[in-house]
Amino acid sequence: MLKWYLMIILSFVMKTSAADQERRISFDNLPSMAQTFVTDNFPSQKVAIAKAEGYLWNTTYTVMLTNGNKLTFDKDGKWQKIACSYKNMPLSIIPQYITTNIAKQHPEAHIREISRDEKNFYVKLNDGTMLSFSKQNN
Amino acid sequence: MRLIYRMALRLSLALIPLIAIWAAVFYFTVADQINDEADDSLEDYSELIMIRVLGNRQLPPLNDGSNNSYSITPVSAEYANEHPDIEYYDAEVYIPEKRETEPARIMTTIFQDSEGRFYELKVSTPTFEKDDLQKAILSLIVALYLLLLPIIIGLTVGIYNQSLKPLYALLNWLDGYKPGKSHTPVPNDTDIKEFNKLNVAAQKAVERSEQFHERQKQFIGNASHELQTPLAVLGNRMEWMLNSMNLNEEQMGEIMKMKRTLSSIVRLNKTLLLLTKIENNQFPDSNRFDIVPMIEEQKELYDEIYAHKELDCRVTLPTKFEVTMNDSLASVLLDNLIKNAYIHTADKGSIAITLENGTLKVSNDGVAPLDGEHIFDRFYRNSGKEGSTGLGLALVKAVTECYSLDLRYEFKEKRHVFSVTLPENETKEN
Repeated sequence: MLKWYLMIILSFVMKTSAADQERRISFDNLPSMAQTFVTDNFPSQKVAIAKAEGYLWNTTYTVMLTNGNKLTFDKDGKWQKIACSYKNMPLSIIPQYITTNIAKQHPEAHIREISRDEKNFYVKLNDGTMLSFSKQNN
Repeated sequence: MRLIYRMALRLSLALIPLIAIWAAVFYFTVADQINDEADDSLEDYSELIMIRVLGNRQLPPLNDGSNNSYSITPVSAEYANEHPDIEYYDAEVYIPEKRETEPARIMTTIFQDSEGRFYELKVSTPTFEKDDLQKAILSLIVALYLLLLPIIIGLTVGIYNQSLKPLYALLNWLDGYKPGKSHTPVPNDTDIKEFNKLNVAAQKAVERSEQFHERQKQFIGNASHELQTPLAVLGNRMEWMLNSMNLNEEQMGEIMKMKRTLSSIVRLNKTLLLLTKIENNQFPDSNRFDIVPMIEEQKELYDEIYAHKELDCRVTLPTKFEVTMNDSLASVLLDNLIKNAYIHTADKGSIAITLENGTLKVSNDGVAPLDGEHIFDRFYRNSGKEGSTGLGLALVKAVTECYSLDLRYEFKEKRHVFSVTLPENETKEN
């Protein structure tokens, strides 16, 4: 609740409507965890554009790679969502038990998008199926 | 100024700016949210197109049916460096299908593809709806503000009136309170602590004051009573001295002077006794009788006594006027008023006694006005006239208070005027 009020006040202190606008940043301005993640999992890709939105604890980072992948990171650089529209999701990102499960249950499908919160992983397949997996290995 | 008006004024002064600030903050927050929504949709649109471009897929039509439009232009690296930021701005956009130019919001992004080529992507969405929305919200907020203020103030005034009823009951009671007269107890049927305290304190104060008043009256009465005996004894002794002792002229002269002085003390004491008796309601019996003959008698009496002053006294009386009061008290009243007029008028002056519309007026020539606030107080006198006890008018006042009569003094056209309403009907004695 307090965060909400502070956001309102902040959005006055800055230009009106500026609080929610995206701003372009260079790759080096991303949190180091995010940079490492990109170079580790997408070594051959270039960054089409890197953007930041929000301030302080509400900051999110978006990286669009030149192969069409869209990565979203939280304020610390931990990935929140990875969307690959063109069948090019790197499997290194996805926990083993999930890939095994999908290979078994949906052998023909491939993953378009994976996102996570504190408790679960959420996976969207190209045929429209949405799955969720809790974080403990099960 | 009454408390409620002051409160309403202060409340308005405080609320008008405060609520205005609130309304302004609210409006701008909402307006911002609306703008944010528009910008968010632009961001989504822009990402969608970017992904398509990067994946070499077919791009959406430049202008879809909802009047959103976009454009992609390849640009040089220098250009990309010169425009590092994502830009949002409002502009007029030409819509070919409608053949019209309309206000829109535009977002520009520069990105590069896998071959390092830079592109500038512009997406736009019409804003007239957004503007309409903002205008509607603005008018609603203004209307709400204009409605809210009077409601708040009205409510406060209403609640105040409701809550402070006991205070006004007490104030009303205070208006009706006259010291020395009997009164209803202080009204106290509230359960609010503060008012309870106030009422109880007022009641106690009144009771204390009443008691004090009572004790004082009694004291004077007792004192005068006690004085009577020693004064009588003193008078007798002086008589005896005059009659039995062999005194020379000089000594007799001195004792006569002492006797005269003693007489005035006795007279004073008697008057004080009379005064306390009247105040203690020891003349409760009233008869109905015609007061006119009494007035005429007194006038004639004083005409005789003060004939040497050659005063001109005129009476204007109805043939008959019946009053209901104690006849002794009536006599005291008339006596003192009329005697005062005769004593305090200079030689060859004029006096007038009239009885009209139930009001008795005794007026006489005067030089300067008397102090209306104090003349009815005991022992207040303008000049120490021979034969004046200083209690005459106090007696008059005591009688009028007995019957709740209206007693006034005015100085008009160089005349002192004393007026008393007479009790025609049975008056409430207290």
